[in-house]
Amino acid sequence: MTVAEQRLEQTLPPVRRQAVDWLPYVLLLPTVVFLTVFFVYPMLQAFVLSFRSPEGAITLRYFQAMLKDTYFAGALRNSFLLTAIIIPLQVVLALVIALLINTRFQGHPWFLFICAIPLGISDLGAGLIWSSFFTERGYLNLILQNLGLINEPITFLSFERPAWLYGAIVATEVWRATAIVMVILVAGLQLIPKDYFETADVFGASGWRKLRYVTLPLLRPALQTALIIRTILAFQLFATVIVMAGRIVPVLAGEAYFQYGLLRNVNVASAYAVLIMTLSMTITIFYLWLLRTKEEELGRG
Amino acid sequence: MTTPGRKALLTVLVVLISAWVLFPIILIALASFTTRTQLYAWPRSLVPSPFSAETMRFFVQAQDVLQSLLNSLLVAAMTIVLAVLIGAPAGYALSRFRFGGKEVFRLGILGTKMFPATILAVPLAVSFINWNLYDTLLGVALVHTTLALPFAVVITTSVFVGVPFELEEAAMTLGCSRAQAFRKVAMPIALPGLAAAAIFTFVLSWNEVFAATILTLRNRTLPALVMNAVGLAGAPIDYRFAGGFFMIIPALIIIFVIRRYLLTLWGVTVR
Amino acid sequence: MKLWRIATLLAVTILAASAPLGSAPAVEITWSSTQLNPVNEQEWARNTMLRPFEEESSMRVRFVSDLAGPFIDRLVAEARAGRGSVDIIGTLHGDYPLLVAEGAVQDVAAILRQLDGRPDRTFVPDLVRAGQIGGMQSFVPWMQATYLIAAHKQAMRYFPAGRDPMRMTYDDLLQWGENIRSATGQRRIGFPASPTGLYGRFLHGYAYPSFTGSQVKKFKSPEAVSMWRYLRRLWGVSHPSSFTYGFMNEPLLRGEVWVAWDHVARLLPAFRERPDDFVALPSPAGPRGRSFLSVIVGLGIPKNSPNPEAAARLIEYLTRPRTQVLTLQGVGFFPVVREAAGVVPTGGLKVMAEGVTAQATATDARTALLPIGLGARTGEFVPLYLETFTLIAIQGRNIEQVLNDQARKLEEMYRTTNAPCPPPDSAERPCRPD
Repeated sequence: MTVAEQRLEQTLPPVRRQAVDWLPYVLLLPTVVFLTVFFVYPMLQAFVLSFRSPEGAITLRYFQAMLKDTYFAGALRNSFLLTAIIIPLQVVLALVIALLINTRFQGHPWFLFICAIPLGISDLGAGLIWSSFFTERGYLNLILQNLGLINEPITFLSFERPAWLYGAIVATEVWRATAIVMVILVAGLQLIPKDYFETADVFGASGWRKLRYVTLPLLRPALQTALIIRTILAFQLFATVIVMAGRIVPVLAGEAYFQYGLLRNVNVASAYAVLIMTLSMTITIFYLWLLRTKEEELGRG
Repeated sequence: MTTPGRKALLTVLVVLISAWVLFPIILIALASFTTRTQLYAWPRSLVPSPFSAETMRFFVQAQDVLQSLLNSLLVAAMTIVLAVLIGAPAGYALSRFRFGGKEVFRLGILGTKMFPATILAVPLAVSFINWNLYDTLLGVALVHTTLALPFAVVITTSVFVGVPFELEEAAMTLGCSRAQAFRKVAMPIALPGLAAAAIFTFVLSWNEVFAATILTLRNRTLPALVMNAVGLAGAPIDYRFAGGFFMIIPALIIIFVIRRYLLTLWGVTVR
Repeated sequence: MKLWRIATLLAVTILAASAPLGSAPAVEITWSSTQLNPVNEQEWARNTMLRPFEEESSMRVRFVSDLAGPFIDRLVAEARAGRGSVDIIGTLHGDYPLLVAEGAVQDVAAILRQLDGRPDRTFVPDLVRAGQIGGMQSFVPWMQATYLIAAHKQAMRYFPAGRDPMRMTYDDLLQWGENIRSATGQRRIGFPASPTGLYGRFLHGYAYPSFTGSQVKKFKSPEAVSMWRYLRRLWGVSHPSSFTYGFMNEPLLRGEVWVAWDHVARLLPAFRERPDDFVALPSPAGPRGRSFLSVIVGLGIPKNSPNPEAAARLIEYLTRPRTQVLTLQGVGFFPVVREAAGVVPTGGLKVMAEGVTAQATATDARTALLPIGLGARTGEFVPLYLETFTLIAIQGRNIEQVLNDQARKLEEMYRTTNAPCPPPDSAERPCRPD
């Protein structure tokens, strides 16, 4: 057991054996009430729409309609694929940035600010910025042409090059949303007491070993948090995709949106929403299991 | 402690990453001050000449823009206060206590975030009309709080997990009540996490466009007013850039202000 | 104590935020619209179009422009809750069947009758008829628009030699695209095929009737099959980024596209920006004629409108010939009253108006109309055609098979709603693809 994990074991208060401690419930109550009134109630209404016809009968036909929809298979595949590509890239990049900041080099607050700037940009805004970059008469072609690398503008956003469309979406998302992961990791790094690093230095640990045996284990809660939040958001992504790739690259959240807003098929839209929720829930549970800290394991005992 | 080699690597990385983040921002900043004719020219220079503040001025003077800017700030402020006030205690509870239903709470709170909110537009609007919250900033703030709460709870949980309980214990043995120990000991250490939650909440509220659009008619927030009219509606290209840039600026200011709370050294903020 | 300060601040903010802002003027009405959405058009509406009305009536009009989704959501929610804040609405006639089905609008027949009876205006009867949905007059026509082809003058030299651009056929268009491609290596024809674009209208209202003489009945006919073969080839000479284009004035002005088909209001900015660079051409003609669609924008009154009388006054103002001309000059939407029709605009608008007239008065012109009677399922019509296009032209599937599958969906849709066929089909009810 590493030093870090041993330390965490001691942080729990002793288990009380008398009557149920009401304090945690009281602390949680406002959150629960709030969410129930403003979200759970309308959500249940929408939830029910996915398997209840207007006449009141319970039916699976909306889910069937969703599965048979032309765009469904593509949306499922794209949502997973994009998430699987984007998130690892972002986590690595965010980690690099967070570690750089943690070295407290001169000017690091400015670096933190710069890297946090994309937080202030919505997914639609980022999509518009980067599409002005990738479009045929856009900035990327402008630069390439000015540098003399090409004679004619290249059409990046072409339906004949789906891989390039993916690339454009990935580039935009990595640029925009890495800050989300980064901010959480930076906060998490602040909590690691410096003594650990100093102790490791005293024992002559190299940078890589420090990272692997001290930093990363202690960063587990923050990593878990960041991954969960990022993945949930990734499955909700669609504005960026629509701007870059129209419906050539369908995604689940986009299909939910089109079913609702364009086709006004509320029931099928709800079916999509239920699917998104189920997938996000499954992956979250997976993350919680994968990155559980010792504290949580003890909590189960 | 860093060798010259490592220092060089660090510098290179910092410069590269900074450039990569800043480049698109600088582009749209420049483009917001470019005239429409120049934006359509090909090939065109990246730097506008002449500089034209015409489009930006349009945005500042357009009807209701400044009012909706204020509305957005008010809504975001309310959302931050509500989300942190309500969410932090929950985060504390989830980090410190073992109790029945804990996992259910955790997953349940996160679960609300997994449902695309756009579908809830009509049920929410109907409820809000009935509760007299329709077309009010408070109503929008309540919805934004709902959207931000799960993240606030999750972030504060992971932060409080990292704050050793012994410190609060020590304070309590020295005569503090539990609440005092929390306020005087745990909270300052947890400040970076609370700052992270606050930034998150602000950004989420600031950029939120769907709920804000459906729930407001006369008292609109900035995204409800501008984003729809600029982003998806096909406004001329100079308006797209200027509108987009105009929306970013306040967010940049807020992030700038809060950023120093993300970095602490055992309660001492680093300047 | 910091906590108290925060709490006080919060309380004050909440109080301030939930109170009505500012003092209310004498009468204020809220006008919610899906048209005039771009931010510059909104400002024009508030400053130029509505200002005279506000002065003469001492009323304040709050013009709120939304995308179609939230617009409809809001009206549906207000109808369901029984309380409304929107006094008057303005939207496409294709939205009204849904609104009527949800019980969100009231009958404006009386208002229309009164307005039409006035000596200074006569509404075009076809437009009025389009508003008769579900047994009521759901809107008063406000403005109309159509779709055209805009071409950069530099592209004209690639137009097939010896052919008249003003009487272009679909074969001419294809040849044009191929000429451009062989000369420059680029594909410069463009269509607004993004989710926010109106390409679907091209498919069901322009291509289908021009090739088959029908929108629905001949959906899977042999003429339709050859039409889809043609469309595949046309797509081969069209700009591959077309699926990112929502408003064609931009790619035209950027120079990415030289020949574009789109809604007149979405092309107008290009004509305005560089009137000497572009020409407006009527839509092409196919074997069965030169079909084009008229789009009608109508003014309606929500069921729970707080102030229907004030709304009626605004409707009167907006349908005045003078205002109609102002609207044409402002945003490129054409008048709906005969008295406003004779005005000759200038500048970029003139170029476009010539194209519109040429299209409407062409000897082989055929009017198609938006599908009617589909009620709550109106929103599924256009996506079905777009889906057909995606399957055939982009995914390259077998044409006959796709048409059979899609026709079945069309048939089911019409059967459940018992809706009649849209012109130029005969009004058979329920409509069935042959």
